[in-house]
Amino acid sequence: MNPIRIWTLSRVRFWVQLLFFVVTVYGGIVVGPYAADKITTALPALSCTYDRQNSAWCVLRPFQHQTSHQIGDGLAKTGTLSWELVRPLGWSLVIFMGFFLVLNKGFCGWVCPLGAFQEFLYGVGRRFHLISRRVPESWLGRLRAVKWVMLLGVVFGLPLLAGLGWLPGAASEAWCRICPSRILTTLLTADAEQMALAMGDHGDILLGVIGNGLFGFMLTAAFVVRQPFCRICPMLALHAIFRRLAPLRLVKHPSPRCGKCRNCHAACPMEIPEVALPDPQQVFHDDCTLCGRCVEFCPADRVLHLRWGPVTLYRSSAARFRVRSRLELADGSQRRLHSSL
Amino acid sequence: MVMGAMAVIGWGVVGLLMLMSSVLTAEAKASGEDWTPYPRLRKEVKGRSLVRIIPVGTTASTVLLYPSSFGRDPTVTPVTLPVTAEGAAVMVHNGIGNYHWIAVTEEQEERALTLATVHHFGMPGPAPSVMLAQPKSRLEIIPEPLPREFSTYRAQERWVFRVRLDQRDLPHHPVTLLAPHHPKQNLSTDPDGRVQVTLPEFPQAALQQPAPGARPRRPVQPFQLAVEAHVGPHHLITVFQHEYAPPPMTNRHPLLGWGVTGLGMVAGLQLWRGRKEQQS
Ligand code: SF4
Ligand code: SF4
Repeated sequence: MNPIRIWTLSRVRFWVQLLFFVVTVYGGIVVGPYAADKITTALPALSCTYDRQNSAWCVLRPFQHQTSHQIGDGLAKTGTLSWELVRPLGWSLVIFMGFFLVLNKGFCGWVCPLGAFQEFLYGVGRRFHLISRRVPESWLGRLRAVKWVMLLGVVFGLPLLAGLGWLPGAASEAWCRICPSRILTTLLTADAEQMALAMGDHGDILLGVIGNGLFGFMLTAAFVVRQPFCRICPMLALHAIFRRLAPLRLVKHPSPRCGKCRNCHAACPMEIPEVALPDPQQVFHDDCTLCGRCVEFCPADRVLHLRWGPVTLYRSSAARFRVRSRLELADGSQRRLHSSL
Repeated sequence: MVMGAMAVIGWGVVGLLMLMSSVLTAEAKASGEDWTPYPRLRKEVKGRSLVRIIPVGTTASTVLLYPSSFGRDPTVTPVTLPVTAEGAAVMVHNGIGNYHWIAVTEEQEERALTLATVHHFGMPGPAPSVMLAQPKSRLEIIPEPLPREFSTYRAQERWVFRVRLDQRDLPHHPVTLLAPHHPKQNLSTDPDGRVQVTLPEFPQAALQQPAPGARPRRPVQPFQLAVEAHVGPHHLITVFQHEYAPPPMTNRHPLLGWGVTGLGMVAGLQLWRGRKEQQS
């Protein structure tokens, strides 16, 4: 058997994702219950703190708590923004960066349990030959803006206002209240509490309805749309801010075919059209999760590269593409691709 | 005749007194004031790094503090805090760790009582497992584990505690669970010296809504686990006190949660309809 056929990048990634899924959802059984036992309390992926068996904590909850209880509360009491107030947030960011610099946006494509879960559902959709929908390119601009609203408005803005006392307490962790990872990972550990709607004040109910509705939508939409939740995820926006600082990245040496075959675009779980353009500056996009599918499905030699600093980890190759496309279409369907090349 | 009237009046007065005392006892029970025969520790959290510890019902004049790095870092030793004239020990976070074991001891002739609790400062620090396992008194109740950060003990949850005497596990030994508004529960350690404790129901009376405009706070109630042992002439008593919150589903509606999720699923299902897209 051809070893390339066995060990395609997608297959390696599948096993890595599965491993991290188990580690991030259930790994606390091994590492221990306390925060200090966790691999980190500022992981650049949605390993949920509500999951009592997890092994690492997503950075977004400390960000919200520090913004609300430290900065907001402190500002309300003292009226001035001091270094003391922002220091905890700064520390969380430093720890986050320590991890982020290793894998960059690869935390989305390789580590995040929610990202892996959505890919799994889409894979099931392909296996059962369900319809596959792509987000119309005319919508992309507006859709891409939503993740920034989520990061700046919901992760930082609402908790700050709650800390200042201008919004109800529920808003102090507004993002967690609507985050699908909270419901998914707790359900997977046989804990149905987060699935039940919080019935405290209006803020509780409103955020609960949005959260449960979003979770339900993601559950069924992910069978036919790729990564429906990732498109609006604030973690994606947070990664985008720092992506130029980390050495792992997607690099393109454009060929004359670029912009014509668009296989890379078809393969991309985030459906980023820019990856197919000849302009190498645009290829490593805000929304890229460094999954490497575009590299795998590029039919030209040495055009797309996954690089860690100066080291090429994986690059496109016509031979690999031929083997790869025998197994799967670029869009994930299990059929033969009729390449124009 | 007169004697008969006096007897009736006498019994009437006795009956009235008994009735009054039972009403008063019921009131005291309802307010949860007489829930423990042991001393208690009251905590007043005054901010992220300041807590006042108020020992109630004990003559102890000092409070001992064990930071979470106790046992890991040989330079870290317990800190002795004086109980001031106002009856409180002031505990300021000294930058060492997050969890702090707080203990008061009271010794009267052959009787030695240790009362302990834990406070968690929301600061970075090591896991408290090593600190908890360090010997701190002859007779010990050790939580295995403590509720982690962002969490607490909750009603009707089951938690494990280890009971040790002179650093040896104490099998088949009686342990008492005490909580306001609940009769005391007699439990026992297993052959390994562990006791499984199911926290009692959360009293309805304590589930008050916050005052209008006030920040909502998680309602909590205290509980104590107590163990006693006689070693030679010594009577050792150890009490672990902490607080517990209402059970997980309080103020939550499971059916509505599933219902709203179902609506979201139906919305997502709309995307399943329509013509299959052309494959590339
Ligand atoms: S709810 Fe979401 S954002 Fe909050 S801690 Fe969990 S994974 Fe992170
Ligand atoms: S964008 Fe997707 S993969 Fe990345 S953190 Fe969010 S849910 Fe996870």
